[in-house]
Amino acid sequence: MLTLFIVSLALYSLEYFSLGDSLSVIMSEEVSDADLARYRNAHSDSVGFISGYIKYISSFFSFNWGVTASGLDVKDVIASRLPLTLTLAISSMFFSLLFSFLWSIAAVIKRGYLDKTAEIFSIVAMSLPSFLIAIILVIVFSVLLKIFPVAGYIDPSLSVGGYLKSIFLPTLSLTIINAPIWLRIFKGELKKIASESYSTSIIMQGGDNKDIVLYSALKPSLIFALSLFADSFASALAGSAVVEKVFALPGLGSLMVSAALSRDVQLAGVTMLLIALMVSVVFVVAEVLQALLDPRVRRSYEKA
Amino acid sequence: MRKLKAGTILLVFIVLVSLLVAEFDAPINSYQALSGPSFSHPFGFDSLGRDLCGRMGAGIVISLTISAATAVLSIAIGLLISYFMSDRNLSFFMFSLSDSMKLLPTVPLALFLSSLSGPGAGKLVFSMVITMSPAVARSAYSKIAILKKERFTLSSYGLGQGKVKVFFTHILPHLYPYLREQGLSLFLSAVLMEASLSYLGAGLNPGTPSLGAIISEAKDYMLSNPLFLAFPSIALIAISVALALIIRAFSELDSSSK
Repeated sequence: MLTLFIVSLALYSLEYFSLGDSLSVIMSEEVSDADLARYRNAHSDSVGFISGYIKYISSFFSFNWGVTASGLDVKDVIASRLPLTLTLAISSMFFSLLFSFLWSIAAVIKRGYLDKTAEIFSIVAMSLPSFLIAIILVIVFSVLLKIFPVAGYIDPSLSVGGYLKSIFLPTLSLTIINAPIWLRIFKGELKKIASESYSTSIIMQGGDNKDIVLYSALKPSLIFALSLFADSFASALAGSAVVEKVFALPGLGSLMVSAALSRDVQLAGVTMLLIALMVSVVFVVAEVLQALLDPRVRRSYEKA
Repeated sequence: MRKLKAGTILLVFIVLVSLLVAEFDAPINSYQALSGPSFSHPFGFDSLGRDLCGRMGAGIVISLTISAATAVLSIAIGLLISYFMSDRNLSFFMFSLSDSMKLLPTVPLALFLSSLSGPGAGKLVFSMVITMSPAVARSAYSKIAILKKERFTLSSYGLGQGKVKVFFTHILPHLYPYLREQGLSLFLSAVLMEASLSYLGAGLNPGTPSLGAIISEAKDYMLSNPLFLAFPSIALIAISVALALIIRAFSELDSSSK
């Protein structure tokens, strides 16, 4: 219990400081813009940097997010956009995890062509920009095969089938964007563990590649994957900006794009902060989980 | 080695061709808009009647320059941070800096910056460098820490040589293989990032030729004029595949020499 307490405390303080850093990065940008905005719309409440910062943070956490350039409440706009992006991000993470997990297990057990195709896939998918992946999928599935709509969004309350169809391609493209990172790391980690001496001992006991993966490599590589969870979530959010633009979906990413193009600082700033907050929450959760599951990580926190 | 050769040849070929054909402000001529390839204009014209070949060449040159600047700057800043911060027990600061930068994905950050005062090359490079250099600092940290404890480094310090001199004579040459791989992969991700952001309209100034911007224009004519979309996409894919091949070749080289 003590270790858990130390871990959570260490994580909390780390997150606290790092979040503070990221907030002040944004804040200093806000200030330089505030100078501009001051004589733009006579919004001159001259507050000091620190007190302004405190006010900014407290208003963020009290959900007092101000209004957009077009006069809508930022809170309402974001609340209407957030679920779709989260659905996309989480489902694509789930699928890419599942897919790369199965593929890398198969590649390590069988070796040979599965291994090679995984390599080729990860090189190709990593070197393709995300919007091109989305466009290629649109051409293949919507234009040539005519299975899915080219773009657009159907609310689930109107038609569940239409909703699923409209988010299928975006999820698929985010999955393809996200999968190669996982695939590479899983495969590398599985191979590394398979060449350790405790894995060789399984061979000596009469086991084969399958036994190595099942008995010694699976668990540590799964736990290892947790450390990349937050990165992958961040890249899924970043990718959603592009994918939502291609498919014209009303999500957080396309909101960010339109805010950027219309110079809506209030909206873009709050969205940015929210993204940082979400990523940091995932970060904390992943690391706590890792500490819970992996005794090695727990011990390193105990020492520190 | 085959990968290295193929990648380098492809990349050099693309760069040379685009330098030759680059046309930075092609005249707008709506009469010939979207007309297909001809002998004098091998790729045809874009939606405003500009020569697509010249525009793509200019786009490639601009985008590669920006990406190279980003990669060099991020590496330089990252190395300096990790070299000088590892000294004075400032590493905690460095780690929390790189952790906090992880919370800011580049694409939203660049979008946010461009919401402040519009898109532009400087801002684009800034937002990429600010997210990439802490990552460099972090990954270089352990390598630099090991090099700092080597006898030849310690003896140079003992002889009274300055930190800066030791950095250039001992630390930097040993980091060369790492820097090569890291620099190239940063270069690749900067190319992709620039293309994505220009696609979204938040990268370079509107009107500046860039592969991402051309693809975003061409997407509207996807059905009526597929070649207009195909040429810039193929060029972008060729560049990134060439870079990926080179990176792969170097990393294989490194792992085999160990």
